[in-house]
Amino acid sequence: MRKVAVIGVGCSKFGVRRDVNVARLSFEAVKKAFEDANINGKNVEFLAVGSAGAGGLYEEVLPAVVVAEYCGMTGAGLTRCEAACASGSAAFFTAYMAVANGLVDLAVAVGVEKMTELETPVVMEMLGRAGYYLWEFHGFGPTFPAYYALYASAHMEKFGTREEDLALVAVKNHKYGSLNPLAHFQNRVSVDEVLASPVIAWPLKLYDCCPISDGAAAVVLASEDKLRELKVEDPVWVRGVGFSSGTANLSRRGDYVGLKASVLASRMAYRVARVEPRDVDVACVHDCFTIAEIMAYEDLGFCKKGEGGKLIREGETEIGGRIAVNVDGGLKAKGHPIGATGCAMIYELVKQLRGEAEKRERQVPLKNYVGLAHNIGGVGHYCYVTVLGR
Amino acid sequence: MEKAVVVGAGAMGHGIAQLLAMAGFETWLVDVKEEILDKALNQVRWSLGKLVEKGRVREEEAKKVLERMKTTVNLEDAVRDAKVVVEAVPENLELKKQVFGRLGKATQPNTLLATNTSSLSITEISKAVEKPERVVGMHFFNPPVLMPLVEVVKGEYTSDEVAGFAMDLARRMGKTPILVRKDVRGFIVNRILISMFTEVCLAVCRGEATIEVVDAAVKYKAGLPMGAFELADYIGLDVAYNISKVMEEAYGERAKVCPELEKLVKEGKLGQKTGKGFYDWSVGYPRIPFKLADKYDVWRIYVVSVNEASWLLKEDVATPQDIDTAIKLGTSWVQGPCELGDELGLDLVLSRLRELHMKYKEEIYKPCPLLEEYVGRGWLGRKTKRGFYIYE
Amino acid sequence: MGIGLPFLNSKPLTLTFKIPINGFSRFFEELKNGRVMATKCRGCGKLYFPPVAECGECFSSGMDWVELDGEGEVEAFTHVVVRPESFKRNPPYTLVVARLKEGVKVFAKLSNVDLAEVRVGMKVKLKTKIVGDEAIYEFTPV
Repeated sequence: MRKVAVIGVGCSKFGVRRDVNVARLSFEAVKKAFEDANINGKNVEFLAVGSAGAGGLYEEVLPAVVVAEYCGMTGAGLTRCEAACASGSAAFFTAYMAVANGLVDLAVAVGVEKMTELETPVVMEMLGRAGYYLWEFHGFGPTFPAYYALYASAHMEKFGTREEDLALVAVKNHKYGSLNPLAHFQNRVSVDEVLASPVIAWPLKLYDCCPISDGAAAVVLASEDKLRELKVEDPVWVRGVGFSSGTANLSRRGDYVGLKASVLASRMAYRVARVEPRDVDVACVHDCFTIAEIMAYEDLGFCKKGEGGKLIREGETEIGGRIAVNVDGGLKAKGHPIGATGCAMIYELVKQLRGEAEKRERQVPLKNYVGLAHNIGGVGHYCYVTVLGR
Repeated sequence: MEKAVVVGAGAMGHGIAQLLAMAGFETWLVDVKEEILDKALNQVRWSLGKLVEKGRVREEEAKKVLERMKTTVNLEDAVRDAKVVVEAVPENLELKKQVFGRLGKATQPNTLLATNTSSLSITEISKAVEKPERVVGMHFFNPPVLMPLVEVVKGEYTSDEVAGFAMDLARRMGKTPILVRKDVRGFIVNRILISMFTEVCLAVCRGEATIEVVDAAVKYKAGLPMGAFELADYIGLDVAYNISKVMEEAYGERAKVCPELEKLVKEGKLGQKTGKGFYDWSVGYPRIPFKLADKYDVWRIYVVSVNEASWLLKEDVATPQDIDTAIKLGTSWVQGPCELGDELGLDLVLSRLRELHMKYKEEIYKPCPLLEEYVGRGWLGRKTKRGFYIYE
Repeated sequence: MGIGLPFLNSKPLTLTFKIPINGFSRFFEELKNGRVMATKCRGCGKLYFPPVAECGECFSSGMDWVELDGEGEVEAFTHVVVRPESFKRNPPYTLVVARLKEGVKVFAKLSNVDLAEVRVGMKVKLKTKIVGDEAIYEFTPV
């Protein structure tokens, strides 16, 4: 396995993007990433496109070919990766492997999703069907918030986690989202506002949920040979990737207070990267719902199992706390265009590790120059954990 | 460019004016004071900014919309060559009649004269104009720019041609118009909403439920977007009270004004805008406890709303499709009362109404003869393939 | 085109998948008879709910049908207020995962329950019900 560096990142504005189709939205991210890496499409040997909703949430059934053509990468090796909401990480991993294996010297991962071309109840349906349609959705109509709400109910019962603790995650992530020009939500919220917002799937309320967003992010990966050729110095390195999965049927899970896939994937990533949770300066964790961030703290080893609520209460995951988590606003406030999220996390970590966060208030002070991205697909159906370092 | 005029630059007026300008009209906004007009234009600017931000209006188009909007304090000058005039002054019959008296004289004889009212009689208003057939009701919902529904109301004298023109105009403004064939008080949406509100108010006044209990059931069991009392606070208790008053005058016992509502209004507690109403809004948005959801039976609001829809049908105010569409677009309910009745079973609805009527002797529960007739014919809803609708 | 952002409507398409249930059609037949069935692997003895026709553990295709008693305890619950498109005509509903005496867990709707009573650890029982021409299973409180 060869060392692989991230030499360029780009991210579109997240939000309701009725101004662009999937190709143009991708272009917005790819252009920035190419400028950042100082390359063009003809240099790219392999492209992996992460997108979960192709043909279901938006009209293009084969987004990889559409994106490759529109962004001048036709001819490169090409694939679309699907790992539900971790599709972006799956694409990143695929591109990473192409370089690490020595097959190519320059690969690109693009994560993209268009989620606002259908009516909201239809989007709720398409996401609710993700899981095991035959045994779950068909008879009972769960939505995605409902799946995470099941976990919230069990976590609250077992560890005494409170609705207020969940609300604090939204408050924190909206605060950072308001400082991130790319974020879907630019507003702050209070605990009271979160608690009084309409119930979506008890105990989760509107402000416990990430929005339905459009967005794209792109990452350029290169071998050491390529770095020399492009005269890139001091890049951000991929230190390690970990992965795991969980059962399709939620009823086959051991418990509902954490995601085993997160535990396994993060352990693998820590081992490969030779780091400990305490070494991480900045983390992007999968907070599609507030309960997901609390469980992530525990599953990733930022605190003991059951103490996620305490960690957010004590402000330890703010900038200046023990570990800065989701200071780009997270999925909760930056938005969660599902296929884009994995690559958008890499974008944020690279910016942070270079000390280039757009607003100074959002720049995390770096001790170890280690960042971690935790990207879940489904409800712990898939998980990728990526460790970056400088 | 065709010219439109909106009289009254309050919350409804400037929204309607913005829609007309967005539809391509040179739009004049008229009010009595320059500062009201300035404030209204600022709000239009803010609203257009939001629409651009959300990608619903292109930036260059927003500029053109603003360029099409003009303001004046001179009503007669503004309306002289207008194709359309929409009146949106406060809900006061005398005031509206006075405005229409002036409009009747100052406009061209074929100018469409629309009144935006939620409660007043179109027929009465139209009498202030020499040719009352050109007066029509256009009931916009708040906020007009976002709410998709317009109830187009025919007064006694309104010509079919004028009603059709108002329907087309609403469509041009990006709205779904519903034709209200009779000038009944409350039109469609408020008739259904007030029936539901009357029931929950009775439940609270009888001490059977608290407002939190009712709203928890409405939100979490019925799955409506807002609780009944929460909604009243949100739209303003003065507004709710005025509508209630009109409804009581028109329908008597069946739509009695809620004494609790009357009391709050007299105390100046007008809901969200004053910080106090049924709920205390000074500490933020009210939290309606989830655990209370099963302490009030939501079937009671279902059956009164289905009953009220039956009255609307009996009075030939609208078709079942139009009633359902109006409710869905006007209130964000997932189902209209006719669909709901067919789903629940009209026989069950009827027997529940009879039960409630027997128990409480309140007019609101008295079954509409049309409902009794349908059940008598075996039209019980979806299960018999015929109810308000015919299936397959 | 108006003053909004320009767009095209795609060709509308309604999809109805014909999902093969060969291999567990008995499950749906027995539901009509009021029984909720699981399958048990003849090779390794593992009990499956939802039922399977092949064992992913030992790769045996020999499965026995076993009736579930249906008594269990809630491990997780939620109350779905905002419903997806194809369930929007239903009133809000409560969903649970409960562990049955037999050891398997079942994800299903919980009906006939006061929302204030629903909690982790609550005792529930599986019941079958005919809705239209489809038989379904759901939990009710014990």
